[in-house]
Amino acid sequence: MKITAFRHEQYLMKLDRPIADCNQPEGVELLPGSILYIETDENVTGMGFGLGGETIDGLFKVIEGRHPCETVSMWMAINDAIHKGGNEGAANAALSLLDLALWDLKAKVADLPLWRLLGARAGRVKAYASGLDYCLSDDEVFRFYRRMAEKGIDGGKLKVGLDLEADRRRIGIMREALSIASERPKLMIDANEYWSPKQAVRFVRQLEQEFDIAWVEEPARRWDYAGLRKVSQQVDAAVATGENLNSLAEFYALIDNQGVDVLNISQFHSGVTGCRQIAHFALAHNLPVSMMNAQAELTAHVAAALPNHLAMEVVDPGREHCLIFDHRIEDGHIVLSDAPGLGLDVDEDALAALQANPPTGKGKFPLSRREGAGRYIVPPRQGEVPWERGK
Amino acid sequence: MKITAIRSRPAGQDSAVSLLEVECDQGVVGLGPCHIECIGMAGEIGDRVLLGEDPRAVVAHWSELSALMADGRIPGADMRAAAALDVALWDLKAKLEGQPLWRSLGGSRPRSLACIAGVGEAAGPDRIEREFASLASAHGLTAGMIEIGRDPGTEIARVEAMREGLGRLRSGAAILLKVREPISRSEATALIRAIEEHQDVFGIEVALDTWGRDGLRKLSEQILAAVSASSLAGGAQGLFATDGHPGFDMLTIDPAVSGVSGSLQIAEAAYGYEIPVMLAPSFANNAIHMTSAMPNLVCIQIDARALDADTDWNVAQVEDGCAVSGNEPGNGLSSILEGLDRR
Repeated sequence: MKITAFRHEQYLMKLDRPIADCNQPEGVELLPGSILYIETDENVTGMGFGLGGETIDGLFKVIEGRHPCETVSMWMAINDAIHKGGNEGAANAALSLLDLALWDLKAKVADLPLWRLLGARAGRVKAYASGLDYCLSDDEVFRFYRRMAEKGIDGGKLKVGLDLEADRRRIGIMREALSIASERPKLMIDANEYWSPKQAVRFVRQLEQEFDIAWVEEPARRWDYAGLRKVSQQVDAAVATGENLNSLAEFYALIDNQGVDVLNISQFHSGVTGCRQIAHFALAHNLPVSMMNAQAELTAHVAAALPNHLAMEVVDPGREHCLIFDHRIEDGHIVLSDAPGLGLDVDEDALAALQANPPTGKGKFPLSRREGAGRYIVPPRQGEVPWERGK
Repeated sequence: MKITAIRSRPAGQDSAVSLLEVECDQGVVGLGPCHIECIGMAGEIGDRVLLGEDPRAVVAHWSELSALMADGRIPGADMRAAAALDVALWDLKAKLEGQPLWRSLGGSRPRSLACIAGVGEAAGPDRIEREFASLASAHGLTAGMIEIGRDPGTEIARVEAMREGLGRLRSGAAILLKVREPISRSEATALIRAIEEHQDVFGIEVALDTWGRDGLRKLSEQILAAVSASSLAGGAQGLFATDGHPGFDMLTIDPAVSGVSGSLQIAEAAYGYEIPVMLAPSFANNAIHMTSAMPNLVCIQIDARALDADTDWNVAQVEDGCAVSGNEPGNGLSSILEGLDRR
């Protein structure tokens, strides 16, 4: 059996609701998407879903003709091919997409759901809710987390950063919304690298006077290991970070300098293979990992098989318009199907329609960095957010 | 699908090893070599943890087995028991997928640098040179390991003989040494430095608990060769938790203690620090299957006795200095067993 061809499709989708963090509070509605199909000579096709992938054309020759089940070897070969420019940016996006598609393919060859192929006991992963909610009103925040709590989800992560009083109020709203799932819901906050380390310490300590914050995510710049460690040492909350790194190699300094307590990982950390490497490196340091959000929660397959996985982020902004899947969220867990591979399929008609008539809307992901980041706070301007600003 | 039986059978001529058999309700059996000292424990914990469970949940099973071994619930817990079960489970999983284990793990057909070990233990220079020359001629070996004692004069001659034997066909052979006798770090440092004045030594393997992390780190700082820590715990859990980067240069993973799951975890954890790994000798060299799924593998140590033409138990051939494996489903042990049963 061998890999014979690939097809790469890109499209733009309009989310069912906008998403935002404090860097771009007004939010965005448009999200680019990529689908990579890897074909074989035995009519089994693997699919990867994500972003980017423009450089796949040049990398495909590395895997063309190879047996599709040799995923790790192919990862190594692709990683070697992109060595000089580094496993970052477009190269990283391509590697991540390729690796994800290859593991989907490997699982389909075995006629197994990916979670089982990876050695998990069950296709079931604890979830936490994450609104990406800086552009949602207080009522919308409540409704989102209440909807998640009705599915049994007992933890939530709120976007914070520009207005401590508003943050305090909205954490309380999130807690109230989640209270039907747990008397002590797990509360997380995410500053998306807007704060300096000492700002993070000051703000988080103030919030901790009222709330038991489980973790603060990206309280400082992704590479500011000393600063992240300082935050970790000076607040009660764990520091979660790593989302914006590219691969295992970039976690070296972060972990070795004790700049992290919970590692955020995703398919963009060099695919399934990369996620597992990072998880094992974390395991060696007695650190847990937490899977970031994904379309159709597809990376729950990977999370299910990681020995040190905490809970996976569920955003649910409505971004699966051309995808077909049947996982569900119940009793606070993502429950995956037994369909082979990632359990995802593409509605080709819907995809074609999106490509023929790209949607329009407010703003396009990725979010940019806000003025003042790491230096001073630029509060929300009039009309920038739909919620009441603090006095 | 579920595990229905766990039993053992002798491995034939190697009386120190038995084969654990883990059978599932599909009638497929996975084999894992287990030292006879812990075969009873393997059966006990296997029955406790695995019976009735889906055999394909290998990651979950390893987590449970290694936790059971670590938390004091099993008196005299021996990780080799857990490792043997893990090897059997992966063999079973690969067979269910109809793949050789190396492909089930995501690797390509292994062709990994072979380092011959177990040659001329405590033997003199003449025999060492003769045996390495024979192995180099027959298998194209370019790397070897010998255990060293305490006396610089003796060991310089032995290492020289090893170099001569390996270097007959090609230059640049890699010399690896292993500390054998109880010896202080300062004495070992002086010994290795003395050897290094005459030979280019690639690496020196030392059990981690010989001098602890600090001791191995200091040794690394004082010699040219890479220091490889061996005798690690079963898996990656907590491996670097206390000190971060260990400061030594390589890790030697023992599949008999870490199985497949633990070995892969340790290798990937080490990869995070760009620390290369070696695989210690394994029964029938079954660890060959893991090699192509480890991006940071330097070499697999091959026990010289396994290359003996009279030996049945060997799944890895050594060609042109590299260990290669076959394409049989699983880890290859079943094929050997079937051949022996037919005889």
